[in-house]
Amino acid sequence: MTEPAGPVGGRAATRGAPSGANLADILERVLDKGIVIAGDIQINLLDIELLTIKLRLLVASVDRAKEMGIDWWEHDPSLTSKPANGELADENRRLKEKVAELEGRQGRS
Amino acid sequence: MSIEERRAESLQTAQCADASVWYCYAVTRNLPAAALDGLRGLQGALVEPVTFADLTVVAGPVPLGQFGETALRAKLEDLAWLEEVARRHDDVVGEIARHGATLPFRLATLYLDQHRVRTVLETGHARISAALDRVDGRVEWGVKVYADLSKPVPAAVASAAGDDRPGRSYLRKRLTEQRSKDEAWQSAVQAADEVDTALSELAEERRAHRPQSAELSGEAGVNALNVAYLVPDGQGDRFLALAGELRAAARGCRIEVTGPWAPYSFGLPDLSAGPDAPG
Repeated sequence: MTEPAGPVGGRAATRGAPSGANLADILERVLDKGIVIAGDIQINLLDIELLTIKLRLLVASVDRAKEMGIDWWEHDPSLTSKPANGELADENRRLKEKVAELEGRQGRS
Repeated sequence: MSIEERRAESLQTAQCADASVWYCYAVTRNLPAAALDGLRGLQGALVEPVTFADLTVVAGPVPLGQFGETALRAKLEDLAWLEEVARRHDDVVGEIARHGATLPFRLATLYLDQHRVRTVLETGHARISAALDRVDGRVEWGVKVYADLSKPVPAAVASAAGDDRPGRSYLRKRLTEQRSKDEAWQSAVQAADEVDTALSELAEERRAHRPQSAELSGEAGVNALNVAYLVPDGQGDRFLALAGELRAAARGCRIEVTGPWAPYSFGLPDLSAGPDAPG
């Protein structure tokens, strides 16, 4: 996947997914992009609750990322309307409190 | 008979599960007559051209039993089924795109009969044509930058906490780890920004996608940048060469190029002009 599927040679090379394209690459395109036309069978893909939940988990795993301590988007002004330093300041305060608490314990023992 | 009446009637007569509805893969124009020979879509069914003037929708029959509203709602929750449909959809789109400007439909765009598909082309002819002009002679390339945050903290920094109080030294180590992770992330974000700026020069348009999770993509590292570029065919070689150079020079992050894709990310925003037009 680190190499493109092949050299681009004009239209003849135009393809859908390169072979072995990862599922996320395909899903983000076929579910999230592409022409939207109201068909006769009305399914709003984004209305499907479980699908949405799964895709949130799988395609853009915000919660999972948070679990792993990755929450950079909360500080990135282009990705959030929250003040950029709010979370960092909170985290700082929490850590300082924790340090103080542990030092206190250490002192007592 | 109005569309609503027709729809109601068709749905009524199509109650049995083996009735078919038409699944639309993509719209293209001036499609060569033999282009679809032997091309099979979902359920192994041969796809067919549905043409109005110079425009053609490529569609194929699928069973109402799986693609009716209720069934589809349930089926879409099944990731294995979804994957199969998504890959097949994309395969057919890719095959059509070999023959000229192509706009893929969103997954599961379904009509009761070919007449209804033709109506879409008839009413949307001007907008579809304009959108095809925009992607004609261009392909989409995907570029992702992954940050490598797994690098261990340099030993000198970690052990510099020569404190006899283990609680404090542990915390210091944790903070150092966090700081080094933050720094690695910041440097990857900056690298991603530079990659994006450089590649944008060779692209006509760019569209940012949401970063992907490693769980679904199976890729190592944390996805810092996920962008689709619309690149003219004539610029394709330069684009790939530049991406290759950037990849070779990348430190602390990994650059991945996918494509060429049909121009999924550069289609029409919403032909139905409904309230839920994506951004």
